[in-house]
Amino acid sequence: MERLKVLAAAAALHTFTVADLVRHTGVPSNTVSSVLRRNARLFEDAKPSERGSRGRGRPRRRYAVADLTAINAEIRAIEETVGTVSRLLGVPDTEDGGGNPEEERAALVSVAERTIMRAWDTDDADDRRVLADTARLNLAAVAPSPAPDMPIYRETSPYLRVKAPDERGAPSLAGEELTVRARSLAVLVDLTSDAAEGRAIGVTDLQRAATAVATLSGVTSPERMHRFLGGLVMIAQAGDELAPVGLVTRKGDTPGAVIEGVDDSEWYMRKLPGTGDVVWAQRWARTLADRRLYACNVLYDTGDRDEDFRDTLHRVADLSSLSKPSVPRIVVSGSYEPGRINTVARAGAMLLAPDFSTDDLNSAIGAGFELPELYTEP
Amino acid sequence: MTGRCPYEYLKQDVWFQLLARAVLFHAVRVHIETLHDRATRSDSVQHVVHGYYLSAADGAADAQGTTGIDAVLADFCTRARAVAARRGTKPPDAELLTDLARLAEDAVVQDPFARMLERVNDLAAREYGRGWRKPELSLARVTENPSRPVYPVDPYPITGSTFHKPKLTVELVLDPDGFGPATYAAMPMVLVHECVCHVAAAQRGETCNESTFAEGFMDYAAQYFFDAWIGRIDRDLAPAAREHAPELVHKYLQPGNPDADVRQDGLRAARKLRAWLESPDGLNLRPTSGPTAVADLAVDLNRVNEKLIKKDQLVATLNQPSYPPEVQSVLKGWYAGSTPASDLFIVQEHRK
Repeated sequence: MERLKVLAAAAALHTFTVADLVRHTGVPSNTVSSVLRRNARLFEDAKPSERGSRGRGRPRRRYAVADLTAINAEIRAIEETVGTVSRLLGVPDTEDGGGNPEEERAALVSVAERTIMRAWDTDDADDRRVLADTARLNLAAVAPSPAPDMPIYRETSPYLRVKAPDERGAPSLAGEELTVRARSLAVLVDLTSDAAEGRAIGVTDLQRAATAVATLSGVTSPERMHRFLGGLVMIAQAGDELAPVGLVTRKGDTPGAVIEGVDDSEWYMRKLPGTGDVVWAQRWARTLADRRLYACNVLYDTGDRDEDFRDTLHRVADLSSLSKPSVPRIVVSGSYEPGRINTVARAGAMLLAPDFSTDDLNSAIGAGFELPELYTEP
Repeated sequence: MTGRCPYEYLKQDVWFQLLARAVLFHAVRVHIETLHDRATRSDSVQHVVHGYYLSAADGAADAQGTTGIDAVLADFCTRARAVAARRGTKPPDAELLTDLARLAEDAVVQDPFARMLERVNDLAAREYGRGWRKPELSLARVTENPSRPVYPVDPYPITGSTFHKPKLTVELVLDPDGFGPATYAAMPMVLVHECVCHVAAAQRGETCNESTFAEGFMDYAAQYFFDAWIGRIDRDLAPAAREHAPELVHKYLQPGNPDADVRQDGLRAARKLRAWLESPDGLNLRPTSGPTAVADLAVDLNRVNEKLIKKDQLVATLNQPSYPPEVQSVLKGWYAGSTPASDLFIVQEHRK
């Protein structure tokens, strides 16, 4: 409280002595001195011309405001963090919440992210719906006023009309990132909500979700990226789709030849540099594959020769190092010999039987996404 | 009482050091702000204070009980008077040290942590009324600052936690080496936060640091009650506590601190609610009544046995630029005393 009073009086007076501040605030002189000392970067000694006439005796030290913007920021920070301060001083909170708008937008988006991640963590559909709604409300609060110049994904979702914060001019870099995060997040929130309410998730929805996650990869931490991919797995599975995988095959093989019941035309191919192998991703996950983002790498191995098997494992390890954050690996192998199993275990992969189906794969990725269970012995 | 450690998760030597410091800070609390200030910039005061910390550390090695603390305190008084009498000691420092010695002489070796929680508990019990359960106190040690330091030397190496099982317990987590006058002055805010926000929380036993309701919206109420209660918690400590509480809150809201976003979000919702309550479209309350109403509503909502995610959803609604008519209606009914706060969750459920 005292600190706020002293800073506010200092900002108002611009040049002052400790006695001036004591007179204006009623705060004891030792506290005033203490506040000035602790916030020394905000003040400087007044210039001779600002010191006023000299009387007899030792002149009192006169201060001047060195950084008014910083003082105002300090004052605002105190007011917004301690509601009682503004109450005691009779300063009403403003209608927009009274805080620093950019910081508050950042907090809202961050909380929306955390909330949607909580939604993905729960198995209860009702809880998931409530959490998705909460995340949606947080995003809505980021952009209260519609911004018609911004493209939107869904006409009925006002929270997608997220606008950059600085309406007076060009948006700041941080503001733009925030906008990107909010808009991408809104897509995931929408689809999580749809999934919780049992609405159909189609390929177009998944494309939007994949694009959103791919976009988030440029503006979020690897840890959160890992969680976003997990959320995308949940959404994909709700749409009876395979999670977004990177399926590694030998040159000439196709997904249809490897996984039961998949249509090759729905897959998108990228060549792995230097190995002759190729990695396939579902066509809807193309934007992710272009950034080498997969929920899981699946390696199909014929098991013909151990040397080949190890070579391919090695290549898969390279592949995962390209895909940040690190992704689980699943090796589909024709045999379960102990030697092979140990090799797989060392590679940190999960072994799957060759007659696996898309359901098996979905289940393996969904259940063990965080860290796939390792087979050590049959 | 003896100096024997009453806390299960604290070793005797750590307890001795914490108790020695807390007893001294309690005894000299009228000067604690000055002590905090001078202990960092006056060599004379720093010498005496650090000497006391070292004596306490030595005493901790073979602490047997009250006698040990008394001896350390007596040593403090002797040293403080000796330094005050030195020719080179500045008059304000000498005056302070003399007064500290006088106050420390009358120090009573009781557990200041338990005493402070007792006071906060009594006030919170009155606010929450029926259904309030008195928490036990636990102290725990961390070797590093329990929260991300904002300052090069963080004066607040303290945080709190509340556990509902197996026993309702408020735990103060402290770094004994960093426990100084400012930490002691900030302690009431930590205890008020734990009691107001978490002890009486009826959310089906759930706890979640990611909750905007529990950590942010309720913290608005905690800050409100801190301000209202601090004179009754400890009148002599109140001025310093009022000085340090905002600093502590500010520290926890710094970007990069764990859960700063959650706290900020919840506080923002409380401030927006206050603004609505004071607006002509809302209840047109006076600026002095708005915070009281927000704090009262927070307490009422905290008592409702509802899932925490529903409470967080309500906070998100209260963060909106405008409130749905049904929410406004319940808020008005609640203020008039005709509608229970729990109806906010019902209208929330039916909102589309």
